Parts: sequence; C-alpha cells; structure tokens
Amino acid sequence: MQTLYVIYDPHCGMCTEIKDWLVRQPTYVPLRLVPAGSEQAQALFPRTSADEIAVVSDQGDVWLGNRAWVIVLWALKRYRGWALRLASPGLQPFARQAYTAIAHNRMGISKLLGLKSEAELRGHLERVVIPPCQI
Amino acid sequence: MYIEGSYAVYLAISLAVTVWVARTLHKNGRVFLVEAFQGNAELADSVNHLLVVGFYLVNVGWVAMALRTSAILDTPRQAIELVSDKIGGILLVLGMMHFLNLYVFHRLRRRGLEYLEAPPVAPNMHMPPPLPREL
Repeated sequence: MQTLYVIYDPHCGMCTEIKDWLVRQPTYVPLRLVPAGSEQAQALFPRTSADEIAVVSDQGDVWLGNRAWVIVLWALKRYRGWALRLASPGLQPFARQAYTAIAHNRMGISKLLGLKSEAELRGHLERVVIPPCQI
Repeated sequence: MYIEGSYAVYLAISLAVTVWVARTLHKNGRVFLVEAFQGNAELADSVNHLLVVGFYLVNVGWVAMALRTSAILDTPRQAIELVSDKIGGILLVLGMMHFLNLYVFHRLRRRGLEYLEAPPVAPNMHMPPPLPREL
C-alpha cells in the first residue's frame, strides 16, 4: 500500500479542522486528502455520502464509518498504537470519539492508552462529544 | 578498627557487581535495540552505549553516596553485618535499575515493530482497480 486517499466533507467545519490537523501528522502511509463531491473523489469512490469520511487505498480497498477512522489513525506514526487498540469489536464503535479526543488532545489522551481494560477505555470514550457539523 | 576494611570490601563488591550488570545489559540489550531501530545497527549501538553510561552514572553515584555510616564497629561480626547490609541495599537498587532498563528496551522494541502492523480492520468493500493514477 503506497497511498491512502481520505475523502472528507469540505463543507463541514469540524471535518476541515480535522483535515488541517491530519496533514501535519507524520505518517507511515502517505495520506492524500480529497474533498467529497470533487472530481477526484468521484473518480476514487463515487458512492460516498457527504457526512461520513471514506478511506480508499491505492489498491482499491475502501473503509467506511468507524473502520475509516481506525485506518486513518493506523496511518499515523504517533497513533498506530491507538488504531490497534481501537480495532477490537468492543471499541470500534468509539473510533470517531477517540479520533476527536486525539485531534483535540482531550483527557490527556496518551495516558488513556495505558488503560488495561477495554471497558475502562470505552467508559472514557463514551464521554467524548463529537462536535456537530456546521455548514 | 574494622571500618576502613568494611568500606574497602563494600566498594570492591558494589563496583564489581555494577560493572557486571552493565556489561550484561550492554551485551544482551543490543539485539532488542537493533530490532527497535529497524536494523540500524549504528544507531542501536549508540543508544546502547548511552544507556550504559547513564546506568553507570546512577549506580556508581548511588554506591558512593551510600558508603557513609555512623555505626561503630568493634567486632568482626558487626563489620560483616554492616557490609552485608550496605551491599544488600546496592543490589536492590541495581536490580530495580536493571528491570527499568529492560522495560525501556521492551518499549523501544515494541514501538519499533509497529510499522510492520497490517491494517487492523478489514475494508468494507473493494473497488476494482485500476484507480486513477495521478489525481
């Protein structure tokens, strides 16, 4: 895998904020950010809905929803450990919360990864509020 | 007077054990570090050497500071007990330092291997290649 294309909603304040954070992160796999609805996005993956990110690899694999958030973290050098943890079925539904918390550096995030039990970690992630998408 | 003799025995044993532990760490820690630094042996040797220098500084410093005693030694028995007491303290500190070093090796190695991890979640779907080459 050489490149991951991240299709995001360019009309959503939170998404563009996250995009700005994402491009500053060191990565294992280069990330290319593509605004949804653009010609590029259409060529890559026509079926994406505007309110959800989609990640497409150069080999044609597509991740949607929570899996997409996990894959984005997996591509980042600093947060691959988080992705491996969040991949478990019990934590996957909170991948977006984890992403939000990491990008905003809430709750002393690096300490949380050390939490032993999944339930404990889930308890923390459940409390993360995802800011609404403002257009 | 047994005090000078006790000091001499204490210093000899403590420093000998320090050297032995440091050499063991240096010899056996290298393989962890080479893996942690993805086969970069030069960097691994450098970090290994720096770790050993830190280990020596902390331990020899501790040995020197723990030397002093206000005990009055009138019999060989008191001398032996004092030396034993002091060396016991040094060995415990050395042991803790040793495990701390092992933990550092372990952490470095784990982080170093992260880059090999495959995507932790399966894609939702697969788009038939070829994808557009350049976007």
